[in-house]
Amino acid sequence: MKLSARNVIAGKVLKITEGAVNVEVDIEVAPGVEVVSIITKQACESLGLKEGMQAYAVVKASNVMIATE
Amino acid sequence: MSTDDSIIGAAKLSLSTEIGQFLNDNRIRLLDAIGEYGSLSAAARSLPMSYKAAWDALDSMNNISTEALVIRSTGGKNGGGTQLTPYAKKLISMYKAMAIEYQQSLERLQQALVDMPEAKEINDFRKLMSRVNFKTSARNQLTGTVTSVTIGAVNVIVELKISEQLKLVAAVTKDSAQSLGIEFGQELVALIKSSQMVLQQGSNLKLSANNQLQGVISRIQPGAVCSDISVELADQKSLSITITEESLKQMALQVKQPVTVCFNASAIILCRYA
Repeated sequence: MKLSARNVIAGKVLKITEGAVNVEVDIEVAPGVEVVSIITKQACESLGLKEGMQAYAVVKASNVMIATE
Repeated sequence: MSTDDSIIGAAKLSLSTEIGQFLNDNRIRLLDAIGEYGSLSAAARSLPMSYKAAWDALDSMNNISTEALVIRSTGGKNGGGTQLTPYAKKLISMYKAMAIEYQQSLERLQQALVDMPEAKEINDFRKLMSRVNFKTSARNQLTGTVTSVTIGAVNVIVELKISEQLKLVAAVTKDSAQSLGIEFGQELVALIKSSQMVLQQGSNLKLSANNQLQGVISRIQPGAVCSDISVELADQKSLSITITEESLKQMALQVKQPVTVCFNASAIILCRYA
C-alpha cells in the first residue's frame, strides 16, 4: 500500500457535473452503487477526468460516518 | 475567594500575535534553554517539560512565525541538535525587555487603581480579552498571505502563500469569504485537523487533493488504533497527520522517509486576525 487512506475503491466515472469552481463526480463502484465526490474544477482538469474513465474513490477511515436503523 | 476577582495580579506576558498565543513564559523559557543546551531533549529536561510538549511547542511556533525560530539538524551521534536562528535570539531579548516594561506598567496601574470603582471594570475587560484570544484544537496552523481568490456560485477558492516554497489551496463558502473580508495580500491562518490528511509515498496514483505537500517524516508516535505522524515540510514548516496503525504498518513508514501529505481544499478552515 502506498497511500495511507484505508478505503480505496475502484470504479468508473458515471457522471461529471461542473460548477463554477467545483465539480461533482459520481463514481460507480459496483452495479447500482455510486460514490459521490466533490472536487475542485482545477483538480478535475489536472486528473483529466472523463465520463466512462476508471477512477478510485479514496476515503480516509476517520471520514466515514456510520448509521444503523 | 476566587483569585480571578483580584485586581491585576502578577504580570504574565504573552505575546498574542493576531492568531493567538505565540510566545508565553514557557515558550520563551524553552527557546532560551534550547539556546543554552543546543538540544531539544536537554532543553525540555531542564525546564522540565515533556519532550513531546516541547516538540509540539516548537512546531507550532515555527508554523505561526513568518521566519523560522529553530533549525533542527538530524543525524550525528546524539541524534542531531536544535539551534536557535538569529531571529529567535532577537525575539527572546525583545520579549524579555517587554516583560520588564509590562510588569512595571501593571504595577503602576495597580497602584493607581487602589480603591477606585473602575478597578473591577478593567479586570472584567482583561478577562474578556483573554477569552477573545481563543485557542483551537486544530493542531496544524499555518500563516499565509492570500495570492489568489477564485469566486464561484457557492464556494471560493483561496490560495495562500505560506512560505517561499509552500502554497495552500483552501475552499470556503462565499458567505465565509465575505464575512472574513478575504482579499488579495491579506494575512490569514489556515487550520487543518490532522485527521483530514492522507499520506502518500512512492505511489503513481494521481490524487484529486488540491494540497499535495512534499515532506520528510520527522516523528512517529504509534498508538493502539491511530498513529500520529509529524512531517517536516519545506522552510521549517511542519504538519501532524493521524493515520491508522494498520496504514503505518502497510506503508512501513519510518522517520526520515520522504512522503507527500495530501488533503482537500475543503479540509482547511481559514481564520483572520480580529
